[in-house]
Amino acid sequence: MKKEWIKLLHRSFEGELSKEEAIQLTKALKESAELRAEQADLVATRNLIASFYVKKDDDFVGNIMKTIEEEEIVAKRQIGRHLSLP
Amino acid sequence: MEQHEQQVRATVLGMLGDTAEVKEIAQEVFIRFYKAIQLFKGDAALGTYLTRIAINLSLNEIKRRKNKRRWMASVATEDIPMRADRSTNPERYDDKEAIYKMLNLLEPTFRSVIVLRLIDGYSVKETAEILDIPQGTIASRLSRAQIKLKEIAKEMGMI
Repeated sequence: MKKEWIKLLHRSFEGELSKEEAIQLTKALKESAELRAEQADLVATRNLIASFYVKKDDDFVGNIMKTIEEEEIVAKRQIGRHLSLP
Repeated sequence: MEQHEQQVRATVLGMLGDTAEVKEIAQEVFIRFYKAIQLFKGDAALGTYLTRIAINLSLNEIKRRKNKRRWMASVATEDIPMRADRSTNPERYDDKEAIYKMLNLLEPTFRSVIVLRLIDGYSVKETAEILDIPQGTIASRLSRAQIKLKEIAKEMGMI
């Protein structure tokens, strides 16, 4: 399998191919079963990674606000102590 | 905050795997932003700005782990059940767990590109801006990382 085909294949996922390059890749895919297999594997890998998601955490925002408030209280106390020093 | 919560958590989870520090670091992203809000000039989208903080904090955490040799057992290569036949044992892998393991087998510089481009869905240009490296480098890392991930996925019987 030619290296340039692989490069074209990778760039094709990012929509970076010119018209001529796209034609070249289409032709290469028709010619090479190995390249078609590589394309299928890469698509499957990308889809697998892209399927990663996280569920919404209902406590997330509340926890942040609580931490910020606590830090502000501590900071105010420290300033207060500093100002009351002789 | 709610609008960006899931994406920031996905970024940190993708970078660090499902470990104890993730929640704390994801929260730290927003706390840092809040504390330095006057520095945000709006020249980047808020999501991009938060993602940059998330990536930096994650990379710091990875360095800290490396320095203290405290890699979690769950990310160790030898823990991955290799070459399993998924067709005969479809319950063997939880996809999410497998994705954590796959990502953790990548060098952090490659992992960050995959997380930003394929999980967060940033373009190559945006990924380059977030990581502050040229677009050509992103494309090259993306290409190499995908080849590596493909090999890992095949060994793990995920594809």
